[in-house]
Amino acid sequence: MAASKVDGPAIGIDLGTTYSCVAVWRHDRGEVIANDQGNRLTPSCVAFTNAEKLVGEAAVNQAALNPTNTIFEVKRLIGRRFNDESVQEDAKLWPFKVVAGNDERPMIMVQYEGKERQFMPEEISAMVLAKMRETAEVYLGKTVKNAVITVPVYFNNSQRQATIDAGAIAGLNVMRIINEPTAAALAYGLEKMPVSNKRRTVLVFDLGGGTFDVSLLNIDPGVDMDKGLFEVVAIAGDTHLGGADFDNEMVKYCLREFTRKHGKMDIHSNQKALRRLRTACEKAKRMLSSTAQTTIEVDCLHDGIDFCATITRSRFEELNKDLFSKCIKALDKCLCDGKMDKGSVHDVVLVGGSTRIPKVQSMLRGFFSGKELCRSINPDEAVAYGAAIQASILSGGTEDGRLVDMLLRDVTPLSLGIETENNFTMSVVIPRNTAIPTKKVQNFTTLYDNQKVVSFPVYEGESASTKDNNLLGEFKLTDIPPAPKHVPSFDVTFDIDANGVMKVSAEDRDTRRKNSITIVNHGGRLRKEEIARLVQEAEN
Amino acid sequence: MDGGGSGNASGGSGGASTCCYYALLGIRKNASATDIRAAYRRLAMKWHPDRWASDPGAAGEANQRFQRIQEAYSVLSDKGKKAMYDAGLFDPLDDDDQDFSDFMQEMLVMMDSVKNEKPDTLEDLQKMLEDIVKGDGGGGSGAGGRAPTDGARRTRVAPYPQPQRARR
Repeated sequence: MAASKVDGPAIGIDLGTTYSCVAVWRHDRGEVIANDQGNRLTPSCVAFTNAEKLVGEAAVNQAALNPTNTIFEVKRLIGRRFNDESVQEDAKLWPFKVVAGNDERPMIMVQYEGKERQFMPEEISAMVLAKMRETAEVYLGKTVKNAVITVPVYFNNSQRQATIDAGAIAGLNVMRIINEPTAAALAYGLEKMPVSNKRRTVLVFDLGGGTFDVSLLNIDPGVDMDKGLFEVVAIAGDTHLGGADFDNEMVKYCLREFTRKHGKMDIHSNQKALRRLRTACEKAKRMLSSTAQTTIEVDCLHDGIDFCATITRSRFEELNKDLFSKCIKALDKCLCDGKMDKGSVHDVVLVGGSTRIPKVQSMLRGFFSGKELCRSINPDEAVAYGAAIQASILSGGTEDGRLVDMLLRDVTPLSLGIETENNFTMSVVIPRNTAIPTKKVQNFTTLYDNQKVVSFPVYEGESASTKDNNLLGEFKLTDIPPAPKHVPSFDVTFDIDANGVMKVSAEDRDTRRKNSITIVNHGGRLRKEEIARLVQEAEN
Repeated sequence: MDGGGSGNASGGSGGASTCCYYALLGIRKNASATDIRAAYRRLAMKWHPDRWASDPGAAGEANQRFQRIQEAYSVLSDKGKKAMYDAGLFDPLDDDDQDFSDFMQEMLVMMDSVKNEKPDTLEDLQKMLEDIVKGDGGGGSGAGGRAPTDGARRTRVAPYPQPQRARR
């Protein structure tokens, strides 16, 4: 990622679990770009047929006819390991097949052009990103190379890197990866925040199709609204919580109803039926945002039997009460991390399509003691809009020569540290919610008399045990002069730049010998040659 | 960096950088929280790396300056850490020692609630804090001492023991 002056327009892309959105900053304002169907949101869906590859609406429109080759929610696979619990659980509900590839990567198996093919999640996401890029190019009338892409706050290093790789495969120079609620806050701060010279504390509640994020920010507008300093104070969330989960609970409910009425049937093997049922459930969920009750009807669901069930808003809320509870827990955690009480929050900004659910809104009003929620920004578009603002900043201005003079101070989402002792102890060097760019030094020493080699496995995560955290990389210092244990001293420096790229180095204070590692490409993920090959394939 | 008198000639006390945090932010030692905030904001806007993205040569220095400003602000904007810093006791390597910082904050609240005949001088405060710190044990050694489970673990490290922590 090169944060430097670049040619051509830079776009902001909200790569969502269920829908994606693209925007550009032009003529002193952000513009969300409509696709070739006239829609400002494009389904994050890719389908493969004997003849062609389909992306967006075209993929969704044929999903019921071709369920095993229609891929959606790939954001729930990208950067994860095949054996992750969430991957295993999701794979049970998806009609398409997920298998284990090299290095424990999940691979998606489809029939394409008459033969069996396997794709990496990065390749599927790249197809969606390429669609968004084409959408922008058609609108702008010129080639687009540069983009800021958004990710959930708790995406770890692997997930972020995989997203960058997907951008590269799609032919994009990913200038920056920013957090989704931070992008929404940029949009809110620039366009919708009440005009004032005073600093405001804003809580962004972002509940999208597949991920949930809470972000607590201070927005300091200064004298002019467009000279703002955005400081992220704390973040919290869940990379696996969103509208798709509400849909899943409804699907499970309907399957229980169907079984109760019609006896034991193996409907799970009927992928066409599941796809149609899921679509009907999603539609019902949307209806329940504006009506108290609705019906879910699927003709000829299975074995010639029609399915019809009535569902009320209160039953929907009961089915999903655990998910709503997770949202409240994350809110508490975010405010606690930020050392703020609820009363200190000036604005609560709703972002993401699932914030339209009445229970979500009433729950938030209750949590904040009746405070009115800010719904003035479009929850589906704010993230892409904010990403476009950041893209403009990083471009150093637009073709109009106007520079958006706003600066963003983001934070690290996960704690970073080194594994020490012999019992998987995580020694945190940079705690979560540390503002970036940042640089921190910590001292370490040997465990044994005359120890000659010290290794520094670098981990990210919140667990006190590295077993539950994510290994980012490892390096060693060798040829340490003999000394009793606990006498040698090593200065370990963690240096994170504004892009979240981290360099970890260690220096022996006695010998001044150094070694370091730059955490950009985690071992096991795509290498440059692999990306080049995939770019080539993507162009075919 | 913007000019600004540091007010007192007590630079370098406890800070990791060669310059005291007040001088870094261009404010006086008796600056109010509002002054600290305003100074931070002005300098953050000036040195944020994104502003220098188009000038790769300057970007490196801007990044370093921003980090130092950030460090200074994170200490001076926290009452507990500020009190420790003012007393010459703040060590950035103890950044994760939040308990002591919280303790200092509680102390400050208690002291505010006591009606003193006259306020303590900075010298008195510093002496009091030094006594408190000495009263604490040096902290247990981080010695692991556990048998290694395999050859690779012979290369593990441990956090540096507290009593031998080097001060800069």
